Amino acid sequence: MTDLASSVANFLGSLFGRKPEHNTDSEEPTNAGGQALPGFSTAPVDPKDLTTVEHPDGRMSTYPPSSAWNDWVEWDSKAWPQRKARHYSLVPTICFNCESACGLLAYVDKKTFEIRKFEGNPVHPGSRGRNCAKGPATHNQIYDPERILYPLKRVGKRGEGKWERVSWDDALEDIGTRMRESRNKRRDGIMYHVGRPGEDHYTNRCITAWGVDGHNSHTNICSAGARAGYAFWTGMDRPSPDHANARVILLISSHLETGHYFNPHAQRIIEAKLDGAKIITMDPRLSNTASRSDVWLPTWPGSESTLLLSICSYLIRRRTYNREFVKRWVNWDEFLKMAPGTPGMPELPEPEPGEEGTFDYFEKCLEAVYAPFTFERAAQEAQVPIERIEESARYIEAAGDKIAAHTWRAASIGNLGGWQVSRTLFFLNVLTGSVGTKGGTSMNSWNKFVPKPFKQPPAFNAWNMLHLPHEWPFAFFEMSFLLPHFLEEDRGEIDVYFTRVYNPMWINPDGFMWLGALQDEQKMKFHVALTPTWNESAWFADYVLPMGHSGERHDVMSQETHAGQWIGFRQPVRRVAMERAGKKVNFTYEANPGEVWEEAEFWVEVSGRMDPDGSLGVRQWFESPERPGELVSQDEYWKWIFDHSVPGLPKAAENEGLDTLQYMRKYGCFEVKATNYTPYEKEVDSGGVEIEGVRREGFKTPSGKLELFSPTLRDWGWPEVEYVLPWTIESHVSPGRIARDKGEMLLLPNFRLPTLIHTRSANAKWLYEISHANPVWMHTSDATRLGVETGDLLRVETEIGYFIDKVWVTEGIKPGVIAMSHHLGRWRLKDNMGGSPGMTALAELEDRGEGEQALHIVKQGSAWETFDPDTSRIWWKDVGVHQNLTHGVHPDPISGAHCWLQRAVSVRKAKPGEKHGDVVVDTKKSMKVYREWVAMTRPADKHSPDGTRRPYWLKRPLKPVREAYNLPEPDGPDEKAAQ
Amino acid sequence: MGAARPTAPTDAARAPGYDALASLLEHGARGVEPDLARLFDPSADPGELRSQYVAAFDLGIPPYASAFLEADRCVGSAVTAAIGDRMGNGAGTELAACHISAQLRHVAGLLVSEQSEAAALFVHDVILAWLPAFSVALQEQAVPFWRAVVRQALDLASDHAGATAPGQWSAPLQPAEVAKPLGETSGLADIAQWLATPAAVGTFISDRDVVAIGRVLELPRGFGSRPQRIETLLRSAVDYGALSAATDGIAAVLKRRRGALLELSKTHVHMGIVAPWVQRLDTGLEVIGTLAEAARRKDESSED
Ligand code: SF4
Repeated sequence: MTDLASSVANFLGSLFGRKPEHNTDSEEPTNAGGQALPGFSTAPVDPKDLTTVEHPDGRMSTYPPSSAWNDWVEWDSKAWPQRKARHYSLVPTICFNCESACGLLAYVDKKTFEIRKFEGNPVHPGSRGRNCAKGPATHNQIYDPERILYPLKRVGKRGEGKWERVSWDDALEDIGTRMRESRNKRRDGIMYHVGRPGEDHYTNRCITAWGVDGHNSHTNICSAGARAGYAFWTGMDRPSPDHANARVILLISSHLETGHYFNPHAQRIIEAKLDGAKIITMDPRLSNTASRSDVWLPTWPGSESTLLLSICSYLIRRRTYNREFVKRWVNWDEFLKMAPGTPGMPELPEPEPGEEGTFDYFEKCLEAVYAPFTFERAAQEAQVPIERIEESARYIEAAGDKIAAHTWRAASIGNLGGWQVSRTLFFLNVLTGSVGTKGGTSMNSWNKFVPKPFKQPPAFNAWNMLHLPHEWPFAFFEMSFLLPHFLEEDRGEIDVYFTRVYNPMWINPDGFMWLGALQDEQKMKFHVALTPTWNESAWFADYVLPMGHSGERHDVMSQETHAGQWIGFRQPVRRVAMERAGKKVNFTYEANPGEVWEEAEFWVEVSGRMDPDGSLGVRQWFESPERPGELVSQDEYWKWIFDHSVPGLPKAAENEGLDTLQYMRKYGCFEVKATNYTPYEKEVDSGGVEIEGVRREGFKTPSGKLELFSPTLRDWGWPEVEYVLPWTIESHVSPGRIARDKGEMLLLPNFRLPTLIHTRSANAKWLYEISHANPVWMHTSDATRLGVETGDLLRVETEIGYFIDKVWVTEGIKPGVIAMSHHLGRWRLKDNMGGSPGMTALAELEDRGEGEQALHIVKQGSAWETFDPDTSRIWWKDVGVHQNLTHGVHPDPISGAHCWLQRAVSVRKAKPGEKHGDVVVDTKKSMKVYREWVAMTRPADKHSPDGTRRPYWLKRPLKPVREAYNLPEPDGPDEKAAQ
Repeated sequence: MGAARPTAPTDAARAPGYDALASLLEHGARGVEPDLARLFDPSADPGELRSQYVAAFDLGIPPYASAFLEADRCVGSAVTAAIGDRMGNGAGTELAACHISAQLRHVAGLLVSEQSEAAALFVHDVILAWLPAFSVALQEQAVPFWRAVVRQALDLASDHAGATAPGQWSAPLQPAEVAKPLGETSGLADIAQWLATPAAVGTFISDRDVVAIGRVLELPRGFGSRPQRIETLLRSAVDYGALSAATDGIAAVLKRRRGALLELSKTHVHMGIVAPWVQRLDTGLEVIGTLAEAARRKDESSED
C-alpha cells in the first residue's frame, strides 16, 4: 500500500465499530436549575430594527425599542452563519452585583423561558443602557453549575458539610417558630446581618414589624469612616457628586473602579473629562483611575487629610474661598463661642475693637487655625512632590462651586481617624460652595428616592448591645465585625441569626474568630444563611436557603448616581415572562431555577409563621391592604407603593394606558426628578433653619447648618481640636508607626478590582477569567531589598498571623507599601460542594490548640466537568490568598470603622515548605489587638452629656423609640434590651 | 475502538472516519470520546486542545470553503449556497454547509445510506476543491493536534476519491477570479485586501504569518482585521525602508505553499485539483514581484 492508503487504513481501523453521530436541534423547554445548558426556541420571523440612543457624551448605541420588548426577535449569534431567529420577552430588572442599581434587560426565551443574556436597559436614568462587566455576568451566576437549588438543612455537626434537602414549608415552620420563641422572650434575640442590601426599605420594614433591634450590617467594614465625616458636617452620611457637570473631580482612591457607583459614575466622570474637567486622584497605588487622572497624588496612607487641609488653608489664606456661602451656611457663630479653650487649638488672634463675634473675625481665626497646614508639611507627610499639590490647589481654586468629590472605601476606612478624610474633603466643598450645586457634591438623600410602603410599623423599644455597645456612641453603624469578640467576652447571645448575601467569616477581618463564633451553638444558637451562592460562612449554618440573583427577585431600589432622582424595580424575569405568556405563578420559586426563592416573599411567609394568629402584633404588618387577614402578595405590595408613593408615576402610567405596576414591570424604572440642586435653600414654614431672616430647609445637624465645629463631639468627651474641627489624626500606620528600618511595611489590603463582586464573583466564570489572583503588589526598590521577583512566594506577617502569597513587582505602588485586592482567596472544605473548583481552593482547617488556627490549601483552582463545557476550560490555578484571616480588628473609636490598613511586622521571601495560600493565626493575639483598640474609646456610660447612649440626631439604619436611647442603670442589667 | 484493520478501506469503513473527523472539527475535541482525540495525541488534554482549536480556526484559518473560494471570503454567499444545494440540507448539523465539518458529516451520511458514487463525487468536487489549500496553510501554524486532524481528513478524502489520477469528474468548485490590484488608483490597502484573499493569492496568509514576517523584520503589524494587519505591515515596511524585505517575506510564504501543493500532487491528488491554487500562487508572486520592483525603484530614486 502507498503511504496514503496505509495512513487511511490505520486511521479507519482504529475507529472500527464507531457509530456515526447525529445532531439534533432540540427546542424542548430545558431546566435552568443547573442541570443543563439553557435551550432556546426558533421561529421564522425577521428581526426588528434597533433603536439608536445618543448618550450625553456623544456616543451612540443601539437597543431594542421598548415597543418591541414583548416579542423581540433577533438572530442567534451562536448559530452563525445560519440565520436562526429567536423570540424573546425582554424583561427589565436591576443589577444586584454592586450598589449602583444599574438597569438590566433580560432576554427571556418565549418558549423555554430560559434567559439568553442580560444587556443594559436604555431607559434607566442612572445607567443609561450601560453596564460594567459584572452586570451581564449575572447570566453566569444564574446558570452556575454549583448553584444551591433547594433549601438545605444541616444534618451533621456544624461545618461538617452534611445537608438534607427540605421543603420551603418545613423550613418556614421551623424558622418562624424559633423567631416567635425568641420574640416572646426578648427583643434583641433575632439578628439580620446584611452584606449587600440591594434594596431600600423592605427588609427594614420587616425587622421593625418584628419589634426587635435586629438590623446588623457590614457598614463598619465598608463606609463607616466616610459616613461619619460627612455626617458631622451635614447630618447626612453619603456624598453624591455631580461628576458630569464638574470642573474638578477629586477622588480619594481609585473611586472609578473601586467605588460603589462604578458604571454610573465612571460614565459621567468620562463625560466631564471630555468637557475639560480635571481629575485629581489620591492613591498610593497606580490604579486605572489614577493613571487616567490629570494629577495623581500617591499619598502615604493616612496623610490625605493633611494634604486636603493644606489646600483649604491656601484658599483661606488667599481669600479665594466662597466667603458668601461659608458666611451663610457654616456654624461659624458656634465656632466663635466654643473654640476658645479647645485643647490643642492653635492660638487665635485677638479681635480688633468691634470685631468680636463677626464673620470678619471668624475669617481671621480660620486663617490662624489652619495656618500650620502648609504645602511643605503636606508634601513631607504625604511624600509627594510639592508641585503636584500646588497644581491641585490651583485647579481647585479655579473650579468655583463645581467640585465633585468622593471618598468611600479607601483612606476613610483604612486609617485610625479616617473619618477625618471625608470631613476634610468635604471642607473643600464647603469652602468652594460646591454643596448641592451643579457640578458640586450633593448629599445622597437629595439624589435618592425611597418610597414609603403601606402601613409603617412603629419604632421598636429595644437596644441590642451586640450592635451598638457603649464604647462607640457615634458608630456608623453596628459594630458588626466585632460580633465574635463580643461573644467571646460573653456580652450576649443570638437566638436566630440571619446572614443575608453575606459571608462574615470570609469578608471580615480576624476570620478565625468568626469561625469560632459560627461554631458556637451556645451563643450563636441558630444560623440561617440566605444566599444565592455557597460561601465559607454558609457552610457553618443550620439552614442554607437559596435566594435569587438579579433577575430572580423583587426589590425597589434607588441610588445617588447623579443629580436627579429615580427608582428601579428589580424583577424575577422568568416569572414576569411566564406571566406575560399567561402562565400563573404563585411564588417566585416556581419560576426560578430549582426552588430558588426571593427574600421579599420569604419574609412575608416566615413572618406569618412567626405570628400565625396575630397575637404578637407582627402579622398585621404583613397582611394585604386589599384582602384583610391574608398575607400580602408582591403585586399588591408594589402596586400600592407605585400608586401612592411615587410622585408622577401614576400620571406617566396613565399616559401609556397602563396601571402603575404594569408600567414598572414594563420599564423597570422611573425618573422622579431630572435634577435636584441645593435643596437646603428651599424655604419652609416650620423646622429648618433661619438664614438671613428666611427659614430654609437647611441640613440635618443640630444647628441646621454645616458644622465646621462639632459641639456634639465636644460634649461627648472628644473636646480636642483634632476631633471638634476638620483636622488630621495620626493614623495607626503613619510613617512614624511603621518601622521601615526594621523591615516593617504597610499592608493596603482593601483595594477592589472593578470586575469582581466582594464575595460573589466565584460564581461568575467570565469575571474570574478576567481576574482570579491577588498577588502582593510591591515596589521595585522593596523587591530588590528583599531579593524577590514577580512570582516568588512572600511571607507577610501581621500583628496576629501570617500568610504566603506570590509577589508582583511594580513601579505602580508606593515604596514601603504593599497592596492586595480584597476579593480573592476563596476556599471550600469539600471537593464536590461548597464552591466551584475553578474559583475556590480546596482547603483544610487546622486547630493547633492554644488559640492557634491554620488554613492549608490542599488543591488550587482546577478545571472540572459539568454540564457547562466552560468549567473544563479553566486554565488558571492561582485563585488568590485569603488575607483577611490575618488582619487584627481595628475599630476606630469615633466612627467604629474597621481601619483596614495593617502593619506588616515582617515581610520576607518564603522558605521551602511555606506554601502558597497558607495562613496561620494566633487568636490570642486577636483578642489582644482588639482590647488595645477598645482602650482608645470614650464610652457613652462615662461621657454621655445627657444620659443617653448615642446622640439622637445621628443616623441609625433603624432608630428605636427615644426611650431606648436612655443608658441603663449603672451596674444593672440592660433592662431595655431584655424587655 | 482499536479492533481489526481493513487493508483496503470500504465505504462502510470510511463512514465512521468521516464522522469522527467531523465530530472533532465541529466540537473542538470536546463532546467527543477522549479515545478519539487520543488517536492524534495520546496525552490529549481537553483544555489544551480547545485553546489550540481557537488558535487554529477561530483566530487562525477559518475551516470554511467560502473563506478560500469566495472573492469576499464570506460565509453565507454563493459558495455556501452551492454546497448547500449539493448537500440537499442533509448534513444534520447547525453549521454552515461550507464548514469542513458539515461536509465531512455529509459524506458520512451518504456512505451510511450506501450512496457511494454521490459520496465520492462530493469529495472530489467540493471537499478537494479547497481542502488541499486549507491543509497546506494550516500545516504552517503552531497547532500540531489540529494539523494532524486536518491532514488525516485530506488523506481520507484523497484516498477515497482515488484522486491521484484525473477521472471522469465533472464540475469541481473553483476559486473565484479576482482581479490583480495593480490599477492606477490601487493603494496598499487594496493590495492588502487582495493578499488577504485566498481565491486571489492562492493561499491563506494568516495573522501568524504576518506576525512572523513582522517579527523578523522588526516591523509593527498593529491590530485589527487580517487585511488591516497586512496593510499595516506593508505601510510600516514603507516607512522603515523595508518594503523589499517585507515582500520577500510574503513571497517566501507563497513559495512554500506552492511547493507543498506540488508535493500533494505527487502523493495525494491529481494536478488538476491543485492547479487553480498553483496558478493563483504564481499570480501572487507576480503581484508581490511588482510591488518589490516598485519598492526598489523608489529606493533608487530616493538615493539620487
Ligand atoms: S456598576 Fe454595579 S450595578 Fe452597574 S452593572 Fe456594574 S455591578 Fe451592576
